[in-house]
Amino acid sequence: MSQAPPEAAGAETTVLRRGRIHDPANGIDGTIGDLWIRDGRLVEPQPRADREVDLHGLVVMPGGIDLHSHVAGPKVAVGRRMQQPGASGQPDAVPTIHATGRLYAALGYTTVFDAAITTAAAPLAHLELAELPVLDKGIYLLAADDDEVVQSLACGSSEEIARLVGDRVTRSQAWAVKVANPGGNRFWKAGRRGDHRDLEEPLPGLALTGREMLARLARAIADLKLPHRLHVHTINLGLPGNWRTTLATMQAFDGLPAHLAHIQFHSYTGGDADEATFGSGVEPLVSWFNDHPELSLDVGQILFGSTMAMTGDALAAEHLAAVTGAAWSAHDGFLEGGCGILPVTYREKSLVHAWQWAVGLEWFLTANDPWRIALSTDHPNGAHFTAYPTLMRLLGDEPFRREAFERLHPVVRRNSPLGGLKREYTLSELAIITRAAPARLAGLSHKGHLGVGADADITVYRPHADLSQMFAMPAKVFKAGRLVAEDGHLRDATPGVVLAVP
Amino acid sequence: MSGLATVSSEQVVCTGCPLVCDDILLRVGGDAATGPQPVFDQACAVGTAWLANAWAGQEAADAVVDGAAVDAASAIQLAAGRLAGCRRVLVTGCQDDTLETVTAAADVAEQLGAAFDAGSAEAVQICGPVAARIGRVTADFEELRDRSDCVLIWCTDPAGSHPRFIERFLTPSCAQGERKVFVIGADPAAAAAQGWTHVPIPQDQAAEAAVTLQAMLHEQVEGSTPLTSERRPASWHLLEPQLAVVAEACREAGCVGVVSGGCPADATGMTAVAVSRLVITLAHRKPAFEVPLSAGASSAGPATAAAVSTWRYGAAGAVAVADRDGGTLAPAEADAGRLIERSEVDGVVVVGQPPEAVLKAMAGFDGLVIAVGGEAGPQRPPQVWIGTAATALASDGQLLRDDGRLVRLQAVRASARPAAATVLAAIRAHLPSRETP
Repeated sequence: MSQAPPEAAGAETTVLRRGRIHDPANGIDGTIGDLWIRDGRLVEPQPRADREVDLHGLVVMPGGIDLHSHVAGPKVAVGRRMQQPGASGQPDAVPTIHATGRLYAALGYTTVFDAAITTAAAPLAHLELAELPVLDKGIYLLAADDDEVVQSLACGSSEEIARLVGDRVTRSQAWAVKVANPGGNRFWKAGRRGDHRDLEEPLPGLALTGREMLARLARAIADLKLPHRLHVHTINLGLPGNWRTTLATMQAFDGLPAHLAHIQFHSYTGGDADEATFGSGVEPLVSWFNDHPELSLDVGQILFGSTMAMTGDALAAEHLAAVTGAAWSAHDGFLEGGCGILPVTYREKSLVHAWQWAVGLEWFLTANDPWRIALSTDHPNGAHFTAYPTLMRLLGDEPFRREAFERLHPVVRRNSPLGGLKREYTLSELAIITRAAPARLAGLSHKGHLGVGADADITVYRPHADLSQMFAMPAKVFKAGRLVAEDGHLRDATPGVVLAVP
Repeated sequence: MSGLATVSSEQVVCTGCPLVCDDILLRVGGDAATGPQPVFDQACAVGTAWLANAWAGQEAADAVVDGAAVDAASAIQLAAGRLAGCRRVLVTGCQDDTLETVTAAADVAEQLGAAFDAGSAEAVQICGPVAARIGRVTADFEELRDRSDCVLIWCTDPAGSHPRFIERFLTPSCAQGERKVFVIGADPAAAAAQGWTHVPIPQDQAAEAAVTLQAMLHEQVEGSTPLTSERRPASWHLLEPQLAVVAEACREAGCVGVVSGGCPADATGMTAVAVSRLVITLAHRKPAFEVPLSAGASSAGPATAAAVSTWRYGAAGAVAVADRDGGTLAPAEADAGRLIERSEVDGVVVVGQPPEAVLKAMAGFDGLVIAVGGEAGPQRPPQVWIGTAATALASDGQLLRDDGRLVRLQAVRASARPAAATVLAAIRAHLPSRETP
């Protein structure tokens, strides 16, 4: 599984001097040091440098990696058309492809994965992604919505399943396989929406349950040795009481690796789709997660404000549209699944939204291994990615978090375990969940660290007591050794490479 | 076999209407007397004429500048020079072009800081932006074919705008077997031709009919109380009798498909909005979707241009400045026709054949017109026209059907002319550079 070499800065040698380096993958936590760059990669110290950049007093980390985002493809296009113009000074909830790259780069991010592209939409998504400035990019393929793949999951041999999945991934130039609501789109298209509440109900017309679909897909991906494990958006997204099916999902892989996407949206107590009974179901889930190192997750934190929800889970989108009465767009693809898009506003005074906010943070603060967690807001579903610095402050600044907690709905304040959690993420832990762990989980051996041979994707921050200020505007961002952003300004818009399984 | 031309066959793509049929088989036969004769299996009359014209068409001049034939390279250089001298430029057209061509046209617009109006349905009809705000539940054409056992054709004529639509997507049986089709509108001819049920609704009551049916479907919901007369739409008493059979069919159906069109008479967009709301209401209850067909398109249609414009500028057309960081859709301000009529631009780049409204506006325009591909407009010939390979003669591009499905072009023959994308890229290369990023 090879990764394309970065578009290099050229043959000149650059040295970044005297930065305070946080490189958790190499066990470096705030050590002052130099970084040598040549041909777009980090190299051993050289006899001389063509260019020196003094980073004295600045914090240096690998470039950020967004393991789960939605930035391109047909449903993102619909979101762009549906959104209201952004408030003054705020980015649109669904920016143009150029603005997406510019904003990510200015934030210190250098790699992004679009987490849900169908086989049919992959060529169009790649045309769009080709115009994404700066960032290296990859797509996760919704292979489990592809009709032929589903048929083979139902009755094919494991070899046949692996062959088909591999074929789709290669043809679509994808990096990984995502499953969005296993089997859900079959129920959706068959008009059996209420029948898909657990992993045991056979899919309409097929001798295949959601549980079997997950296990067989995970097996195929292990057999294919894809760089990223099966990326799972499980059933019952956003529904009260869904923690049970999330736990069942965690137990479905029989020890094979799997990644649980936007776990926050799948961690609620309550029952019978009754929002009034909403609560946190994190405790039993995190307990299982902590004991099972083969599992990883991204959180899909919500942050308060207006955004656009978009998903390959047509059932979930319809449910949310029905509950909120919001505008709703959807599209059913031929021999594929469906998707749904709708605007959403998260309010701290709302019982459900306050719970969602608290549940996400509870996950971050009670999961004990940051190497298996990726920071995400499931952009734009939970919040815009430009809100990451606020989220990082919530994790690293307990008084700030407590202050925000005190503004929540009183039921949440009374009942959420979050109020008792005092943990604060260190800079090193923040570096893990935003770059080192996502790189490791994605199977990007050349990214997420600053060791010799790594891509020279480097972000330089000014230290600040207010972490949200520190992370909102890096002083400098280097991509493959080139200075691409400085103090929020884009300096070089050269597109990155496509990360695709060969 | 002596005297007969070699018979060959290959699959080609028809770009003669927004259906972009990719199942056409070109067979070339004939003999010494007749010469090669093409036959386009599966093609409709419109497609056959379109493809035959492309197959046999002459490509006389490479380019024309101020009425005189010149080579393309000279015309490109001259076009770039004249554009660079303009105060404000508009790039428009792109109605029947590939993703690659529209992208190249947008590049030119960005280089010039120009207005960009891809002329999409959303830009030229107020219904687009409005519908985007309320949402729209849609599906691929094949989903209609395979799943919908009840189809409502809402005040549009697919046979007119998309000649093979009925044959390809409505005549085949669906998974449930028999399909009920209702033609809602004033003209009974389409229904009679197919043996479908005609529901007589005057064109000017198309929106009211959708609102009325939505109210009737609301009353179908188990446990709901009938709407009081005050809450029923005003048109209820007039339209409910005709629509009763439709409401009943929707109730019984496993999956309802609504075929709608950008109705030219729907100037306010009310029909489009009412139909979208009707479908959304249905779709909250059972499988249902809308299949909107672009109206009045004589060629491949606007979906391709809308896609590029959306990822580049966040809007499906009509942006005042082609700015990749985001443009605001401003159909009242940046519509191509208006910009030209008001002389807000002094230079226009027309890519392909422009919409009728743009052609009309150009009749009184005394600024610079650069045409890339298409034909010289009847009212206002351009100063610079550069010939490009028509989409029917292109094999290296991709188009989007009305439903967003990607189709890779397969040409009926090779063209001696360059692709429009190549010409646009060359013009851009000759323009003064702008600061980047």
